Amino acid sequence: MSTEAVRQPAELKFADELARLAQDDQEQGGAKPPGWKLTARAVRSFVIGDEPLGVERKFYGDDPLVDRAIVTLMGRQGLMLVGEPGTAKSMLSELLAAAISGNSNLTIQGTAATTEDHVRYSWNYALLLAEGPTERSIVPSPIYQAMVSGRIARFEEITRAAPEIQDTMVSLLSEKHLMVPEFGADARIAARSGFNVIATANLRDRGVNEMSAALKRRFNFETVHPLADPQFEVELVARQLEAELGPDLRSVKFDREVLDLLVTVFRDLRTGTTKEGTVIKRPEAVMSTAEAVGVAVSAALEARYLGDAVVTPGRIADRMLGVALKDNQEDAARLRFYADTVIRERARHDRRWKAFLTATRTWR
Amino acid sequence: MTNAPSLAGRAGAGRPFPGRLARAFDLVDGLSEVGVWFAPVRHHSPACARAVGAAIDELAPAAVLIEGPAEYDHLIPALLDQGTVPPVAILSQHPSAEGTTSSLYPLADFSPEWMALRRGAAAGSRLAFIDRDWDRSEFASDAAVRLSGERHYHVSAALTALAAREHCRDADELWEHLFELRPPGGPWADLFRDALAWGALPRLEQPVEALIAEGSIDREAAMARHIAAWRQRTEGALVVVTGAFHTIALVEVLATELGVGWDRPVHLDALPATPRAGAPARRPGPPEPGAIPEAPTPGATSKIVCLGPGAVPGPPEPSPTSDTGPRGPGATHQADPSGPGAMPEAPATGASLMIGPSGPGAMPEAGSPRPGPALEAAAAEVAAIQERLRQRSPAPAERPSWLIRYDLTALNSLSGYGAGIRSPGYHQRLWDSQARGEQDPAAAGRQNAIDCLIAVAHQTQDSNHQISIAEVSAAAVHCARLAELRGHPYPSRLDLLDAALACFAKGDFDAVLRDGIGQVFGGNKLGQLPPGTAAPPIVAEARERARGLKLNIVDSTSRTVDLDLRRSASARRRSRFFWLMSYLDTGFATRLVGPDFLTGRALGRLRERWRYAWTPLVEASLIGLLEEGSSLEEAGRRRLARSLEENEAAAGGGSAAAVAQAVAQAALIGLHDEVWRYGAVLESVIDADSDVTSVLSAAWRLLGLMRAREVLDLTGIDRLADLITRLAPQLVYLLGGLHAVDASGEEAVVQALIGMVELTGRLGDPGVTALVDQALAGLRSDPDASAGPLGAAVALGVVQGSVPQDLLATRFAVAFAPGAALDFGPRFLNGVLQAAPDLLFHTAELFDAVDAAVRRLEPDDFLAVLPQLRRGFGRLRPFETARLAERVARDSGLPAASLTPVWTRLTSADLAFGQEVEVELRASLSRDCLAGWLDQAASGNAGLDRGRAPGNEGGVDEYPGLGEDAEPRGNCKPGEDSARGRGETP
Repeated sequence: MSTEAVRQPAELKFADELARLAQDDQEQGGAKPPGWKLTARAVRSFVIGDEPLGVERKFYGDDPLVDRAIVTLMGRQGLMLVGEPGTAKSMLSELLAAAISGNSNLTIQGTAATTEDHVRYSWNYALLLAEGPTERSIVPSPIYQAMVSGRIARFEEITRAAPEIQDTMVSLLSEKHLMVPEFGADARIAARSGFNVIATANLRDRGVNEMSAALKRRFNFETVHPLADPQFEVELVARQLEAELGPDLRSVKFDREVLDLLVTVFRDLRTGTTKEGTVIKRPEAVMSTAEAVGVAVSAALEARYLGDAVVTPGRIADRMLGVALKDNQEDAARLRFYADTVIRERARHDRRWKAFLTATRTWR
Repeated sequence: MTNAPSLAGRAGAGRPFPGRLARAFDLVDGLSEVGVWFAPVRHHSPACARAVGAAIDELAPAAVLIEGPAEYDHLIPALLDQGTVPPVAILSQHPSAEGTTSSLYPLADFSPEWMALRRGAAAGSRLAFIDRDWDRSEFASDAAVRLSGERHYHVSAALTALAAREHCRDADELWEHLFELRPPGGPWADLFRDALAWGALPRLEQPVEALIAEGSIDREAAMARHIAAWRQRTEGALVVVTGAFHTIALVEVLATELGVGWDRPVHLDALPATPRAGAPARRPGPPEPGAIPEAPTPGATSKIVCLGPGAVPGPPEPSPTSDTGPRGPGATHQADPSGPGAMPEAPATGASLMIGPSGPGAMPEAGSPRPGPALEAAAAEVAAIQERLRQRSPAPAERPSWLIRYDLTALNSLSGYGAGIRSPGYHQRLWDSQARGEQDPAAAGRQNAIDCLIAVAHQTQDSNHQISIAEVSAAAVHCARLAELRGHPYPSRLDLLDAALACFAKGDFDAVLRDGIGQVFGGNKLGQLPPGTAAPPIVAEARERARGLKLNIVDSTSRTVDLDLRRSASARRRSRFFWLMSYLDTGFATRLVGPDFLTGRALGRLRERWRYAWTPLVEASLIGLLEEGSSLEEAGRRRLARSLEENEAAAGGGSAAAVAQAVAQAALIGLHDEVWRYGAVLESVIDADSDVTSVLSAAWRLLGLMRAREVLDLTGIDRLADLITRLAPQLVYLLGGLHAVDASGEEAVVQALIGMVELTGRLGDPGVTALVDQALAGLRSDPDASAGPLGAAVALGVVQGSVPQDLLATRFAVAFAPGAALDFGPRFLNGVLQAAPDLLFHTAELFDAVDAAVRRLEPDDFLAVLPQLRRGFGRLRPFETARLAERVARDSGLPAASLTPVWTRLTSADLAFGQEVEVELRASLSRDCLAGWLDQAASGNAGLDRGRAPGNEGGVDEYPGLGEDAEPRGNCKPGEDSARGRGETP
């Protein structure tokens, strides 16, 4: 893959770190779970960082959850990561797959259009007609490939797939076999050591397709929560902003105070409670850290290429409407209420909030 | 996280400990050379308990000194009694003007203090508590205080940072990782050294002012005084078991006082002279003439100068022994200034106060001209403690204290106990299994993990979240792997909880699982005391009252008693005691049947039946009440006040209903003075309460109390009547504002109107009656009044005789007249039928008007108003509906049977089916933990069926006002049969 790719998979992006961890494993002589590229501890270090080895922390907030996730993947149960949108579930799933299997690309994206073929296998029909059902004519799904190679497969947004498609996973996870009747009555693909599944589900999508009890039993659930510490969230947004923009950021004046304001607004709206403790109306829109980063990036790019290279509170307010709040009239009303009450009060004592309030006129 | 943890190796990740801490380790060594061995502990830490036991076994000390108020010494024999089985606690009470406060000193099997007592006794050591007497002024709240809070550990930045680096979620997990998971049998000195550092890290963050303000410095001075006294009068080793947070300061001040451990002691003579024992103590004063001038030290509150090296070199002189000093442990309790209260033979002025840049806290930079901040903090702390040491010690307290049974649940830090331990149930299981010694500690830990998981699964057995054997075994594997990943020799408490969370909760950590885990990890072990142990006053009071009422409490057998409330004064006294005990949630008594004066159910019943049993849990609950008051009545008072506050907070301000409930509750539990106190409160909130249902409900409650006055032995009935009379104008005023409500709010307003009229009838106060009549007249003449209230007001006027019957028909015809809003007439009719349905049969004009109006409706209009009409006619009872149908049929020339609905013919099969459904419904309610509804329904049936007043329908309040014996149609004139309560069976 070329280095100009917009986004690299974790195993390429952090190839150096993975190599160092593998070497450390070799030196320490730790036992690797069957089929894994690294020891469990090295996988953990890859996710939550290891200063002496120069491995940076990639997932913040809940180290015990990472432990539990790794241990789950060592066992027979699959791992189900659930949580509000934007809580880094997919990132965690990618990091775990990259560290355990060296490949995070065996991924199915759950959608309303996901079919059983996407989960099991389909056929190259030209070859199927020419040769009949053979190893050459079968088109294996990511799960099929993961079973054959003993790797981690990922099923993103599993609750967006129809229940009967989700339930295809039940037998795969309990039997760890995939029947291929086209090859003969008893033909089956047996999963090799190292195979497991990480699924993610969005709590907001639970109503779309509820999971069956049978499928739930095949997974251990881990709920990924938004970050609890506001200061840390500011820090994280700053870091991600840097990672997203790179050199662009250096030519923009983006004060910490403005970032602080952005995170405060997002936290207020996400939790439905202001930092002063007042309960406010919560918008439907996802107000996760990832969205906050999106707003910050968008405001910074606008300042850099279309403005005076200064990110002001007003610019943040401008960008929030399009980037975070999408097209929802009720949300706009909630936002206006928030601006008219909470922000107006803060604006009395603080010029930054005043600037923000002035710009919220565009929310009307 | 990795194995073989050591705090020393972690606090600085290769960097040395802060200088003050490094110095403290040297001082600990120095003090051990003079036989003072410090055992810094965390309260209720099994690891520390084991280390204390090992240290005592090895050192065989002459005395074991334990952090805990010295006033508890007299309980040591009871604590050592073989019949005493933890968890137990020492309880003391502190009466003051603001009320009595209780303090508790709990001990579990795995508490280091318990271990110190038991092993110390086994080793033949003398035992003593050395903390100062508990001081109420330290605590602002009046809740019970459990001694030895550990909040510092939870707010320490150093420990939080260390926890984050070790990937632990908080200081508690860090503690378990670093201390509890050490293999038992390791060197106790290492553990104490690390525990000292653990306690010191948060301490280094505290300014001396904060330590003084929270009382730590005072307590440390008291402990230092006792330790020094013991050192002087005792040969042989002393083991000092104190909370790790205090140990570093104790070490520093003791080393200073005993003159050990300092490389380069420096003379500080800016402090006042130490009084010799027996001599009057002096307060710190200006320096002696010729003393070195003072310079302020940052952070120090006392005037201390840290002098540079060489000011007065040389080691401190040994302290002379005083003849008048303390002579033995017995002296500990003397209020004699020459006893331990006075600083025992402190070194003479000029020889004792050794502190300097190389002293405690000094940053040991060679040649540094000024001490570092840690040094200055240490100097300030030592000086502050020493200043208190020089003062006359307070007289020993003469407060009562008792040994009581305690339970593990209360030890749980999650239950609000600051110094508690997380999951005491887990620790008790682990302690017991490791103490059995059947397998090595790690194997016992692994077995315990599996036992805990099975126990959790067992807890969920009868629920809708059953945990299967497969899930238990998956969780067992999961926790073993987590332990391996985290470098633990066996699954820790959190490994286990993590495994349960991952494997049992499928995205839904529901109440069943939470309770199951809570039961197993929280534990429920109840301690035991030897027979004859003196009991705290609240337990004694409850026992005494129960015996006085001739209730059998000799054993814990459950008994049932019937109380004839109207005939027997003693039955009423018993009833009030049962109600009080039940209100205080002691678990002593349960009411099976009888009138409920609080909710107004079943008021017609003459007798109450109670089931009661005096179990250990009752005693435990009573002890729990100590947090609320020292006597049953005081606890009842506080609880009343608290629940009133909560009710008012929920109601968003002064709520007449909430206060009236407090009045009723107070009457029920026999706190008659509170009845009048809350009565006065009620007077003050009446005018401010703008909620009509709240005011009406308050009035009903008071009326109920009036009628139950004999059963409740309430005197001063006139005051209650006055209160209701005060409520009436407010009710009238509020209803005045509700004339014009929208259709959806009409029903509630009509209910309130009916309730008000009903209340007036029952009250029989001419002034109130006139006021209400006037209000109804005002409503009838209000051109903006809504249809429903208007109909009700007219109907009520007819019932009362103040409105002629033909006027009702006229108003009705007007309501249905062309030009009126289509739904006005049906809503008017609704109001009439809600208030007085009988009028339809008794007033021929009304019937004809209704009949004509309905017949006149166009088909479309009829359909439009049909729902309203249905609602109105639906208020009729079946026999009334039948009468109405007959009459309509007659007028229409149809056979009556054609209009009378025939429901069905019921067969015995239907009956059997109905019974089956009922059995299933009961089972289903029981499964959903709603069996209580059935009991309520059973006990409340009579009252609900017959006693409900019209004013209480539609959610005004559940209070029916009167009992079965009451006339249910209070607003009717005698002999009339019109307005009445719903639900009354024909």
